[in-house]
Amino acid sequence: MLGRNIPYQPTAGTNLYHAEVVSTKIAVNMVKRSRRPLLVIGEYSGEAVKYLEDLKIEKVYTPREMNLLALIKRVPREGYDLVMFIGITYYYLNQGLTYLKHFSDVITLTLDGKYVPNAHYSFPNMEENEHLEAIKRFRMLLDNL
Amino acid sequence: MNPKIVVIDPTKCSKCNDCVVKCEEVHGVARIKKAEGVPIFCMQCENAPCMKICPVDAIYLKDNIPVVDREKCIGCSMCEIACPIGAIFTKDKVAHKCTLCLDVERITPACVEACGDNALKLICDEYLEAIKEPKRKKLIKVLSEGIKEILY
Repeated sequence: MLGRNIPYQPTAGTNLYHAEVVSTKIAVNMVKRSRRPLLVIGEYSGEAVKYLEDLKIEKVYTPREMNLLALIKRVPREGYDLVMFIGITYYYLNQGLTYLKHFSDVITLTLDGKYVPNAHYSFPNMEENEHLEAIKRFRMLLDNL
Repeated sequence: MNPKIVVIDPTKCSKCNDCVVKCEEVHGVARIKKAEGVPIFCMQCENAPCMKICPVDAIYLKDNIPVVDREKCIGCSMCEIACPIGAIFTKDKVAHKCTLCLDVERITPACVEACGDNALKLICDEYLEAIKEPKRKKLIKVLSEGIKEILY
C-alpha cells in the first residue's frame, strides 16, 4: 500500500500541487499535532467507519447532519486546523477540497482508499481490504498516543 | 527509527529557495542549509551526535526528534563539529537545527508545504519497508534466474 510514489498520473492534472501521499503513521502524527481536528464522515464509508465512530475527535456526518457545501464554508470560520474526510463522493469531495485548498489555511487529509489529488494529504490508492487494514492501523496508532 | 524525516529528491529540486524562505518566516532563522543550491535537512539521527556531545544537555528528544532548548544552549558550537552532515549551526549564540516544526504549532513541516516541486517528502519507517519490499523481490528474481543459468 505505501511507497507508491506516483499514485496519480501526473499528466492527468494541470498543476503540480497534487496531494502528498501519507502513510497511516504520518496521518496519526498530524492528528496528534493538530489543536482542533475535525472528521467528516460521508455516506459511503462502508465498514471502515466502524473504526472511526468512537474516536474522541469532533465528527460531522454528511449529508445526515450537514450538507458538505455548508460544512466547507463553515470550516475556515470555526478555527479547525485539520479536517479529515472519508466516504464522500469522489468528485463532489474534490470540488470542496479545492475551495479549502485555495481559500483557507485549513489542512485537509483524506482517509479514503483512493488518492484524492485536491487534498493537501491523502492516502494512496488501495484495495478494499488494504484500506480497511490501514484504517484499523490508523485507529490503533491513535489509541496508543 | 525516528517517526518521520524529511527527504529531498535533488533531481526534482528547482533551487527556488521557497523552503528556506518559509522556514525563516516560521522560525525567525532559516534552519535549512544549502549545498550547491539544494537544501540539506537534518537527518534526525536516532543516536544523535549533537545531543551526545552537548556539554549542557541543551538538546533533548521530543517525539524521538532532537530539539534544542534555547534557554540551556550556551552556543559553544560543539554540536556543529559533531554533526556528520553539517545540518546544525550556531547563530546569535544559540544552536539552530531542523525539528520538523515540532517546536511551533504546525501540523506538518513548513518547508514540505512550501515546496512547489514536490521534491520534499515526509517519510517514516512504514515507507522504508514498502520501498525495500520490491527490491527484495527483485533480488530473489535475479538470484533464481542466475541459478537457472548455472545449473541448466
